Amino acid sequence: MHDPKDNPEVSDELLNSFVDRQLTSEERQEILHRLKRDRALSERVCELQHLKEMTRLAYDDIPPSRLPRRPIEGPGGWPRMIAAALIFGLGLLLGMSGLPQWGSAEDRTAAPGASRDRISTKVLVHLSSADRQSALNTLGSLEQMLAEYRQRGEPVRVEVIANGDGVKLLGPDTPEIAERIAALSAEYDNLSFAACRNTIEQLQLTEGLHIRLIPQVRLIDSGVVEVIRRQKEGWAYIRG
Amino acid sequence: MFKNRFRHKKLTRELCANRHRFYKLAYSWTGDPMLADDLVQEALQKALHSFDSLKDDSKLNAWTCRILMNCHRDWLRRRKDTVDFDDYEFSAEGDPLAQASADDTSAMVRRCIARLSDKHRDVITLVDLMEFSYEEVSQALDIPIGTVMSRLCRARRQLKQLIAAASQEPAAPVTPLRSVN
Repeated sequence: MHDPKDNPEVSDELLNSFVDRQLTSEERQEILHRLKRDRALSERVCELQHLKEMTRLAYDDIPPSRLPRRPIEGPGGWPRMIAAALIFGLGLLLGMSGLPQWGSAEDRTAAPGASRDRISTKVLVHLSSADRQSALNTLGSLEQMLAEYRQRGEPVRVEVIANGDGVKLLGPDTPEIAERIAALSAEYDNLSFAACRNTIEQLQLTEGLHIRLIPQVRLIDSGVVEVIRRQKEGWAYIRG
Repeated sequence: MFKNRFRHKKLTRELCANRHRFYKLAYSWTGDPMLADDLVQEALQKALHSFDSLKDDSKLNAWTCRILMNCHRDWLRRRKDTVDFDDYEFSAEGDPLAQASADDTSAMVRRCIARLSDKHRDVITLVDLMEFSYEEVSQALDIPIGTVMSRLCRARRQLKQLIAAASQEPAAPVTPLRSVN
């Protein structure tokens, strides 16, 4: 579709396609290669990514839709209406609280999450610096906290989100931290670790770093977005 | 008959799974939760009754977006000649509520998106909120992919300028404008 080699100036259209992941892997590789050498180009990509992220985030806290509570009626005719009446009658007899409702996949996945929502303590730990000792201290405090909650039989969920220089600590190059994370993850299934993909890509472009993550760490698109989301959901925020 | 019924069920499930994305899209066009809700409701109902006219099931989302856009345009046409007093935008200068909301980055970005032309807003919201590929945007808007790319490029350039300007000025709430001719 595009060949950047033919055009030394990378167009905005091409950079938009890069940010929107609309390029083939070869085209993407070519742009990545150019970004390593061209700081101005890298800044243009950062700006576009930032703009895209802001647009996505802008509609995360809009007033919720009422639609899940409003059934949408498809074509059905009399047989369906009779069936609905029968189900309704049966529901009344059995003391059902309501009819099945239309909802999104998010609504459906929210159902099992309802039990998770009963967990009153949810803690988000934000790792954004590459200070090893500070990270080890944070992991130590987390271990103490998790052990205490377990002992008291109180449910708790903890999520550690790394972005910025914090992602540098979640790879095998910092074995003392990697071992600690592996041990904690094996011991506590209510503890999870996540790293920001945007940061990892940026570090590759700007510092030429190839961040490798240990298997206990999952990748998320944007650490900042996740931190904001969790805070909006009422998670306690701790800077690690 | 059974095959058709299974197909309808599958498409319905898919539409419902994307309901919130359609709502966000409608909200980005209207800036009004009640209206966005009504438009999505109307569009999904129309879609449900028109599955037989959908030729390619893989284009369900783009097809539904077109229905949603038409619903929005119809609504704008219906209200074209009347402006409700309650809808009138007064200057928000000195309004503490507007000022508080001006501090909110999300609200500021939404105001900037509302200021984009309808063509630019359509393309940017389909790509960033609906997470459509350029091909899907092309199908939803019925324009060539090249036009999608150039329009998106101009839209983001304009949005960047608007955000830069908005962060330096006290902002007033803005209802998105859309030409209906």
